[in-house]
Order: sequence, then C-alpha cells, then structure tokens
Amino acid sequence: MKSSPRERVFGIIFTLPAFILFLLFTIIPVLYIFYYSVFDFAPGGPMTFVGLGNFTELFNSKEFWVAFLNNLKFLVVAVPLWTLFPLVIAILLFEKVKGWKFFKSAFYFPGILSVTIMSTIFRTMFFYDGPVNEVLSLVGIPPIEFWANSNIAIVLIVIYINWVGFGGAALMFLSALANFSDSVYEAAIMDGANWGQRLFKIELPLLRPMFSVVLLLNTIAVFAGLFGSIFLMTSGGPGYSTTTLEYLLYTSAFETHRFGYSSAIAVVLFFMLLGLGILQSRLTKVSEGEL
Amino acid sequence: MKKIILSIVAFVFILAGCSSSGEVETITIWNAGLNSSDPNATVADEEMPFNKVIADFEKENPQYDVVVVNQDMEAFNQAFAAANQAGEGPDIVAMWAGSTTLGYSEYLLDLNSYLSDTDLKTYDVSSMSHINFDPEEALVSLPLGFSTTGLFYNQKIMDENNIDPTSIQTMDDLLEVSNTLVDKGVTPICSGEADGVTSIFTTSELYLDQVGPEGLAELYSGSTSINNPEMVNALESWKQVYDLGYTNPDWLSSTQSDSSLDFKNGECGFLVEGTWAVSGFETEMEDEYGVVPMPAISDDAPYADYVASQPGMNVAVTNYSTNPEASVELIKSFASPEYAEAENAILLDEESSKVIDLMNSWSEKSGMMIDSAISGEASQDFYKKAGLAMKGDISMEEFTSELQTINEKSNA
Repeated sequence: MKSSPRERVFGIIFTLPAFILFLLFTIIPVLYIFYYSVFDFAPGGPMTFVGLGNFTELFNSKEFWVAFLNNLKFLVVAVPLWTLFPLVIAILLFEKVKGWKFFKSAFYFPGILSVTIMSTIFRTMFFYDGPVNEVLSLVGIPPIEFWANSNIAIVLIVIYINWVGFGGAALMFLSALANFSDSVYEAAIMDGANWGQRLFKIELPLLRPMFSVVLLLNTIAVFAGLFGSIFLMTSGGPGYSTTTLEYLLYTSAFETHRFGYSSAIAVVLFFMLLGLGILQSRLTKVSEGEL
Repeated sequence: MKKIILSIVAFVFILAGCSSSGEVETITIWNAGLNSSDPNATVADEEMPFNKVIADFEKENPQYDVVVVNQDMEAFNQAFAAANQAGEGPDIVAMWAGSTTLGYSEYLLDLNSYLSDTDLKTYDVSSMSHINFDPEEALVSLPLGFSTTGLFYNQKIMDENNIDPTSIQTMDDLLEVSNTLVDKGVTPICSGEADGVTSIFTTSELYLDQVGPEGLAELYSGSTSINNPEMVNALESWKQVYDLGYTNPDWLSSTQSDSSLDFKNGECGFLVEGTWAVSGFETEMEDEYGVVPMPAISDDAPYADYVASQPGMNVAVTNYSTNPEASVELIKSFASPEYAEAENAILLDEESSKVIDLMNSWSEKSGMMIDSAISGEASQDFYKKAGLAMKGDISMEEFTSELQTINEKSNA
C-alpha cells in the first residue's frame, strides 16, 4: 500500500528529532574520526597533516598486531562459546528442566551488574591470595599467578566474557523460542516427532535468524565492548598480552595524547567491524538460501 | 561654545587618567599540583601557604589581582597546549617537573635575566629547570617539592634477624641480606611490577650510579640511546631480586601501592619508595621503620654515592605574560625555602619531617628519574613492559631497544 504525501510528511516530522540526534552524536563524530585520522595532534595543539602516515605507522607497529591478534583470539575462541553455550542453555530452559525458573534468573544475574562490579569480583577471585588459589591449595596445588601469565590471562578473559555475557544471549534465544507458534509444535507432536526431531527439524532452523543476530552482537562486543573489563582486570597486561584494539585506541588517545593515531585505530576498527558484519550477513543469507 | 567643548574634553581626559592610574591588572595562575587546600582537611584554605603567598602579594601590590585556576594535570595539559597556540594562556603555571615542563619550554620565559646568582642558589635550581636539562640553555622554571627515593626497612624484622640496614651499600649487600632473610622464612623485599614503578625507581638509581646526572640527562637530548650497556646493567642488576626469589611471589601482578601496603603490614623487610610515602609510614608504622639510601650497583661505580632525587613540581612564567616581572616575583615566593617549610609544617608531623629532611640531605649528589628524561610515550612503554622484562619474557636488550625506538619517534 502506497503512503499518501500527508503521511510521508508526518513520517519525516516524527523521525526528524531522532535523525538529528543520530546525526549530531553518531554520524558527525564518525566523520570527524576519519578527518582526524590523517592528522598528528594532541588536544588543543597544532594539527599537522600526515596523510596516511598514522596508518603506515599503525600497520608497522608491533603493538597493533599484538592487539589485533588478541582480538582474533577472542573472536575465534570466545564468540563461538558465547553463542553456542547460551543456545544450549536456552533450549534446556525452554524445555522447562527441573529448577528452570531459578536457573533463568541465576544465569542472567551476572549480566545485570555493572562491568566494574563483575570485573572486580572476577579479578579478585583469581588473585594470588584469592579464593581460587585457596581452593587449589586444599588439593595441594601451589598458588598460581593467574594475572601475571599472558596465556592464562587471555583464557581468564574468555571465561569472564562467557560468565558475564551468556545470560543475556541465552535470554535472546529463549525469547525467540517463546515466540514460535504453538501450532507448529502441536502438528509435530501429532505427526509423532520426538524431542530430538523437534529440536533439529523445527527449533534450530527457526532460531537461525536469532543465531545470526547473537553472533553479530557478540562479534561486535569482542571488538568494541571489552574495554571496561580489560581496563579493570589487566590494564592490557602483562605487557600488551591482553591489549585489544579498542584498549590500544584508549592508551594512544588518553595516555600518550596522540589523537590522530588513535583516530586511525578507530577507522581500522570501523572497517573491520563493517567487513565482519557484511560477511556474516552474506553467510547467513547463503545458509538461508536467499542468495 | 569652545570653552564648553574644551572643558568636556579636559574632563574626559581627567576621567581617563583617573581610570588608567587605578586600573587593576590580572595575573592568572594555572595550578596543576601546588596545594591550594589541605589534603588532610585540617587547615583552612586561607591558611595554606599557597593562598597566603598570593594574599601577601596582592596586599603589597594592589595594582594586581591574582586569579587561580586549579586543575588536574591531564586537564591542564589539554588547556595549556590550546592556550599556548592562541597566546592567551596564563601568566604563571605550576606543573609536574621534568619532561612535562620541558615539553612547553618554547612558551616559557627565560628566567636568567630576572634572577641574580644569589636567587639561583636560594631556589635550588638544577639542570632539570633548563631546556634540554642543559645548564647552558635557558632557565625556564623554578623547582619545588623535592622527592628522593630510598630503601625503607622494617625495624622489627631487622632487629629480629640482627641486620644492620646501614651496612647495605651495594646490590650485592642487599642480595646477601635478602638471602639471610629468606633462610629465616621472611620475605626480604616487597615489590610490584604490574605498573613498572618499582623498576623506574631502581633502574634510575642503578643507572645513575654508572653514568651520573649528566649522563642520565643525555637520554632526553637523545645524545645517548636508551639501549646502552649501562641501562641493561641497571635493569639486569635489579632483575636478580626476582630471579633469586627475594620478593613477594606475586610481584608481577602487584603494583607499587600494593607493595607499599604489604610493607606497612609488616610482610617484608624492605621496600623501595620515595619521600612522598613517609607520612603514610609514620602513621601506620610509627617508629617501626627506617630508611637508608638505595644501594649502589657496585662499590666501584663512578657515581655510587648519587641518589635519584628530583623536584616534583615546577613553577614557570609564560613568555607571553603581560606582567613578567610581577609574575617572576610571585613564583620566587612559591619556590622559596620558606614556602616549603611552611607547607611541611602543615602537611607533615615532626617525625615525618625528620625522615624527609634526612632523605633530601642525600640529594646533594643526585640525578633525576629515568621517566623524567625520556618521552611520555617511552615512559608509558617502560611501565607497561618492565614486568615482562624482569620476568625474562623479553630480553633487556629487546626492551631497551623498543624504548629507544619509541623515544626517537616521539622526539622526532
């Protein structure tokens, strides 16, 4: 149905305030980041045009590749876990296993507390004289310097991401499952489908769009949503071993005051996430047979 | 009619004359670190030496009104950089000493022509106040708030283990004493490398022992690379305490403030700290602690008796100030020994003052901290990677080479 000119005018009027805010606080700052990325400057200082100099320096910097590799580790290890594990939990909750009401709240609980609280609790748990080492000492294992070991620190952050994030992802899957029409299940039961058949032939195929959304959100989160946790738990260390691109962006801007260089990191992050988003969307369409 | 016009013109001129002779000029101070209020909240603001100096100045010079803008160092940096470009910044600035001040030297007044030789002696001016840390170059600031690092010890632990801390003259002595303490089940040294601060203190001292204050200042001008054998020696020398297990086992994930807290709790024999920590030790430990100079890298090191000591703050006048003479007079008051004494009388108790005086008495032969001599970016990298270097994950040669690369890049 085609809308009338009057409806179109109303539509524009109603969306205009939101569009203006989006323009002012998202589009223009993003454009500024692109502009800043070709200059070398500290806040308030003179801006020197360096062309692609910041990008050349970035790609030649060891720290950039270390941070990029750390992001890749989170992408490859944390994101699949953070997507599949909540899916399993959501299906179990949907099947109303014993105590499902308690588990539904308990799983989501870490997600409602602030990053500061959760990061501090998690960090303290793995202190040298923290509860985890206390428990290990009961079985004769000497205390471990968890946060001082680069490999262990990365693993701990992966565990942390899942601990804090899986409740939210599980809830998204659960809401998608709850929206499926009862008639689909009733028809399947009448046709004699068992639990496994219902799961693999109905639920999982119908969950595919939500699966794509959760996957995309989690991917974005490991590239652009871990700053607070890393800042509070490891400060990117030991050395640069848990530094991600967004943390590197922060240190370049606010510790060494190189705003042009940090803008270049932001531009690279922008294109990475854009590329991943497009790739994921195409893969989803391929799997749904739309292409 | 002519008479009336002439009378009006004369009247206007008289009024203008009156107004200009009575005009009050403003001197603006941007303060990023001097105490304008008591951090312990025991003394009223108007009683603080900072405010009293200003009040006295205004009383003696009624033609000036002093306006103070207090801000933290980060906000100061951003605002001052912008103001310098426009030439519309303050008349006086109070900011961190070292490379922070020197980073703004092109906007600071050369004080040489405003100060006599007697003044220079009074204000304890060192190379740190000169461009490029070179006494031959322009003098752009006056120092205050001197800090000295030392080896603090727990008196009770020393007594229980028959250790005379004054006998610790070299790193070998410290290692020997540490070995004795380990044998008796005591953690010798509280240390934390998560923030790289302990390494800055110790490496500054051990490097200074080998190259002296001028050699250390050469890091700033770039005439000496950071990746030099003496720097590697200094780092390797301190690394021994970790390799031999003479520190708390969680040194790699602890910060300097964690170590300081452990020391106050009596969990170890020694701690490397600075004068700024004395007041806290006095409150928590009373007479259960003491301090000796940091041990030298070896007894035959050319500058073995030098200690790492430097002003914490600088006061300076901008070269675009419209009232340079008056502004210089004001900063002379801030940098005077009387000002320091008055402030210490408020902020420190008698015992703390004694300890700080003792530590500052070592600074007749002193040099600055390494992070004051290298760029901010290189310092950040030092803090970040020092723990890994001490652990042995990266070699000292690799560590110092990376610092040199960053230093060169940021100084380019």
